[in-house]
Amino acid sequence: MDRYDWLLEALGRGYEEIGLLKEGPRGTIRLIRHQKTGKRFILRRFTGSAEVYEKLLHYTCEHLPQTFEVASRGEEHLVLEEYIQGDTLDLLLKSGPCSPRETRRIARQLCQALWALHALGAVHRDVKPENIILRGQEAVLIDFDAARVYKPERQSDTQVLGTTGFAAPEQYGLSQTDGRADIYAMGILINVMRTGQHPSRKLAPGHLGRVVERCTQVMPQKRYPNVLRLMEAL
Amino acid sequence: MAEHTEKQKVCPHCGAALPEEAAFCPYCAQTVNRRSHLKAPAEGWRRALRRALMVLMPLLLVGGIAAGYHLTRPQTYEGVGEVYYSDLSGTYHLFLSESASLQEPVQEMRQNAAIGEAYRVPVLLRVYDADTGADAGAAFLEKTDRVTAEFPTIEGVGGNFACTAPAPHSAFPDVPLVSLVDYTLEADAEAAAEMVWTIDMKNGDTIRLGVDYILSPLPNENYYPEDVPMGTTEELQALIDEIAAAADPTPNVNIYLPAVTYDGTLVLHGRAINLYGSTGGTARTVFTGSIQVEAREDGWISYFQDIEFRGNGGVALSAAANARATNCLFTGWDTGLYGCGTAWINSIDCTFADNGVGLHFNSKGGSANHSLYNGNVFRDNGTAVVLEQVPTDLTLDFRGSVFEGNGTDIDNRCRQGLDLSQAEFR
Repeated sequence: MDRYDWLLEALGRGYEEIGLLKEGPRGTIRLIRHQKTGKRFILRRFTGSAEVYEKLLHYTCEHLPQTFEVASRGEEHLVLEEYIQGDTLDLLLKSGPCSPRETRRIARQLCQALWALHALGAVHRDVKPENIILRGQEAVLIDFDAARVYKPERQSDTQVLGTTGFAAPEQYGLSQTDGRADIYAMGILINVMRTGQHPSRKLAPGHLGRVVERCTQVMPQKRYPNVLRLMEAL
Repeated sequence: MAEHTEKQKVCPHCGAALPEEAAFCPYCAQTVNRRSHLKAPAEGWRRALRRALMVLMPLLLVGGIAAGYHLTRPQTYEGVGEVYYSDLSGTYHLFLSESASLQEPVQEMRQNAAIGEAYRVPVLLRVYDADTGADAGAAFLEKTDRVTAEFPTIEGVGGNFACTAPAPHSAFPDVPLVSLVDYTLEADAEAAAEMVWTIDMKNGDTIRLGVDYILSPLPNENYYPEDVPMGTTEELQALIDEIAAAADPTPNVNIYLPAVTYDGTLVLHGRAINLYGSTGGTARTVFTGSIQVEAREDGWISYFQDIEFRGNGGVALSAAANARATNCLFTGWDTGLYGCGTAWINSIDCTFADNGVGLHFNSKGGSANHSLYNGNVFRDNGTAVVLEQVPTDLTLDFRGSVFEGNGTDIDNRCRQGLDLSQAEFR
């Protein structure tokens, strides 16, 4: 029995499904519970690349969910992940824009999460309100299905992943994505948090607006060079 | 227990057999691998780097540094609430604060505002040597070419924001620059604006320092004579006692008084309460007894407007908490308006006539709230103004005030700064 089947069988025996959270062409996300301890986990089954999850197996970061186990069979992957209890930022924004202070606080925490990913050579590529869970005062960045490990020698991405509106121009094939694609998405996100709208429709006023402008430059070279610089600007 | 053919290891928590590469035991739901914690470097890393460079600097070639310095100029530094600025002579920590006593940078100023009321608050630029913590305001100012402040963007409707040009201020002698922010809230909704200080240095660098102002409407709680008994001092005192006992201290309390004469002493306590005299017809609201404002620490101002204080000795309005009289008459008293305790008192467009002392400042407070004493008439008083003790060194500006027929116009015992350039002495 290979590791994929072993994990699948162990989960099938000792765990119960609480709900199907998401189903899409790339796979499913389920909330499951360990019957003995009552602990809840996220189980991802998807096709594509699990290399970022595999890297995260060896690390913890308070602004990223902990990846407990990864098992692969060819292009199919099983990922067992920490369940983060809280509301998504998307839900919070339905009640109105965030204050400047709140925006800065959340954005800085997301920069911490992105720094951890970038330090592992990974790019998230899908930073958006639906992928941010607010656990009390902590923002947690989830969903690395679109994430990939940056390989400097490649000329362009093989697949276009990311969410329309939040994805950087280079994610649509203009050039290869690196950490600055996440900085672009952070700019959009900051603007949406402050105004509820894309910066092309309404730019956040004041200092945060200038940060958004810098983040969302079409040329990656004109953006903040890394998330630490963005954190400083915030 | 599952069987498998891969190389195995044992779960340290429950003893279950696991694949050699397992990171997690699905049987007891615990991690079985070692993990490192990922945390971004502290945000002060660049500052730390700058400090390290400061230590190493003597070891480097001065010419090389200077060349590098000039090649990288001019630069723009931006921050919200605070910013660190470096030049050849060192690193400065610049930040904005609400008062001289607060040493923490402020990024967001939240203010409550009664709708339609005008407010003015100071914002202070503080400058310290980032390495030693010593005050560096004077040295820094010498390197500046121009400092401006503005509100380039205003969010929400109904918020009006303006600010004075940054300049030294007599109330804050140890602070290099102060701007006074004027704001009003015209609508019953939150309004916000970012204030931006722009500091142009002589070497071409630019420093932009921002602070967000957020105005929240302060609900008005109004009391009118047709709704609430307030025709006698006893009734008015009962109303004030009731308001003071209310659980929620937030609303701005206004009492609109009828055109009657109140005798006896009235005591304001517990919270700031504004008394507005009658302005309809020719009859006025008159007090022949004293009003005493008891000491409080909330800083709010009690306003007295359109009231005639007609006495026969004693003190008309004695304030141990902040108070402001506007368009009032004080006549026939030993003292008209008396400020004591920690109170800051103001009189604007008032008439002080035939009193022993018109206005007597004898307060030891640490804060001021308004410098203007404009439009007053001081006539035929023993002494028009006695300044025994005045909180802060703020210069009192008597522009448009008239002094005539007084035994002594101003008895400035505490040598308070005065601006009498636009006052009239007859």
